[in-house]
Amino acid sequence: MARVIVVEDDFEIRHLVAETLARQGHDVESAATAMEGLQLVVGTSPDLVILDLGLPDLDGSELLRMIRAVSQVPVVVITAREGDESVVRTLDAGADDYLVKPFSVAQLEARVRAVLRRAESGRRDGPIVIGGLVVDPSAREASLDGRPLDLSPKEFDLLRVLAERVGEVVSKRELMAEVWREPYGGSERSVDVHLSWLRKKLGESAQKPRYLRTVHGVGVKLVDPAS
Amino acid sequence: MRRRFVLVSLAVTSLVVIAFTVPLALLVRHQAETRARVAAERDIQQVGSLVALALAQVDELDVDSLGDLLGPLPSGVSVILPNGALIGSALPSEVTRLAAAEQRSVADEVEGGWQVALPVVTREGPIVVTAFVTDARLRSGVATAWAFLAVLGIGMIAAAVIVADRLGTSIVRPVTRLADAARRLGAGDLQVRVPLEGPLEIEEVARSFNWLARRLEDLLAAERESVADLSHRLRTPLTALRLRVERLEDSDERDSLLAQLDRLQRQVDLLIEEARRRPDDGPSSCDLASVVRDRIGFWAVAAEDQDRELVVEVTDEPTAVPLPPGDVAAAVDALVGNVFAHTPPGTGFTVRVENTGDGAVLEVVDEGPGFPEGVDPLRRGESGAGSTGLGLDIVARTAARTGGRVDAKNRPEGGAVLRVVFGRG
Repeated sequence: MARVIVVEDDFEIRHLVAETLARQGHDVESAATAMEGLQLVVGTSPDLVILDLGLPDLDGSELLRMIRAVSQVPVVVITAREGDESVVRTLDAGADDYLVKPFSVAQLEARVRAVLRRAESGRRDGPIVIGGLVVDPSAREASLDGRPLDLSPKEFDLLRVLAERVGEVVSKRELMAEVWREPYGGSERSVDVHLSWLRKKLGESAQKPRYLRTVHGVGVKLVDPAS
Repeated sequence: MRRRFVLVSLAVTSLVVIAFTVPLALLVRHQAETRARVAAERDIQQVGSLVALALAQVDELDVDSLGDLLGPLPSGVSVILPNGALIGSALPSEVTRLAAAEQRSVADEVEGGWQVALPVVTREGPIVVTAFVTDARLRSGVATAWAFLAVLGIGMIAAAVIVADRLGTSIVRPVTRLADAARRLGAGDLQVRVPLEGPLEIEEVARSFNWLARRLEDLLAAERESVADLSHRLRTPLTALRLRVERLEDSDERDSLLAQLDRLQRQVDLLIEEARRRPDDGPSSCDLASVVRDRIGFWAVAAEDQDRELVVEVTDEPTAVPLPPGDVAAAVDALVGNVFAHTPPGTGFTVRVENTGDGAVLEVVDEGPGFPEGVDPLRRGESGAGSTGLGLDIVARTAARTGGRVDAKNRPEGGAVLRVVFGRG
């Protein structure tokens, strides 16, 4: 599928991440130090780099800058420090996405899938159109029948994830991994409530669904009501 | 301290003022009396010599001719003829009688004043010239002088007290400020510093205090950082553990291990959050009713979506709770989220906020099946339905921070009641 490089100093995590991605069918190579990682990135032109920020020889964000100087490869950063500031700094430094330790397999897969999809759709360009619904991930704007939708950041992310996988049933667990980045159980209720809000803003209800369809016991999917 | 200064100065100046003004007052009175007496004596001397002159010109001594010769007498002076006839206003008394009898000048206190008498010897007997000085006359000017002395004395005391108070304030104010700063430092305000002012010794204390506060701040910041850092470092092995557990084949074993990992992770997160939290981060109290209204606005759409009848009974009275609004909102979300998690769609629920004697109360009542028998819903990990029960655990801890509590029970007519009492802190 894709060629992935994992740069992580912790032996256990490096192996587990590499193995998880290899099981997904990716071609994975790994490096324990920043220098080794940089050599791999330059030498093999991968499709994706997973980069831990806490490396022994060089700060991960330094390495990120060096990678950005030579390549536009998508980078998912692994960080132990959550909080808006460090995330913003990381994204500003050129990361495409991030994972906060401890993350689950589902989150790892979700982030890798999302970044690879975005890299691909980046080549395709433009907003996603589903019937009267238009979702523009790069401008973070959405409209319904030409009327702009006023969505909160979480609602927009939900809509984006569902729109990127239109017609596909997405489980609440996946939505949580994609939008909330929290591995805990128990906050699936948040997904429900945000889906309710999204439904309301799309002008529909659970009883009379149009775009958002609940598949009981499985998850939700976004469909074009006309088809 | 300031009062002491004032009292000491009051005592000292009062003593000094009394020691000086009382003798001065007595002296003033004595001088006034002497002045009046000397004036009276001079008057009778003058009148006496006039009488002696007159005697040489008249043959017969009678009141009218003598009166004509003497002319108007000074006030308070009389001439008493040997036959008892009287010229002038002063009345005969023991003093005049004695002067006539003993033929010498006599002076003494009499009723209402002081009298002096001088005999002038004639052939018909002694003529007595007498002067009566009233008490008022004796003390004329004394009252004014005393009033002046009193005003002067009080003025001096007042001035001394004011100066002492100023002096006291200049010493006491830095000390009060220091005490105040120490109290605030004790209450957790590490940014508190005192200005360097006042007497040298106190300035030195202030400098030491500031150094102490700065040191405490640095130490605590370092402590917080190291706790946060340690917790961050825990996240790497936690990640490895989670990834390993997720690959386990036995799904029961895996789920139970994952739940334990979640708990561990939450504790680590909490540790980081608490280490990072500073006392001055955001408001430390909020209005329960407004937080609940806000959160209900969030949940109402989901309730509508699931056909749940939502009854909101929130008081309009102020319901202050000594917690940051975020913590209260998390508790409300946990309670309402539990209704959504543990009751089937279509089940109605009521959210109530009221004031009681114990403090503000939040109550969430649902029409679902209630808690299963023999299960304590407040105990960690017992609330079933895939939840770890941590929601209620957090609510209980939040309530406990205010000195409040959580009660859980089933209603006789069915459904669960969760009642959170927030203390006043």
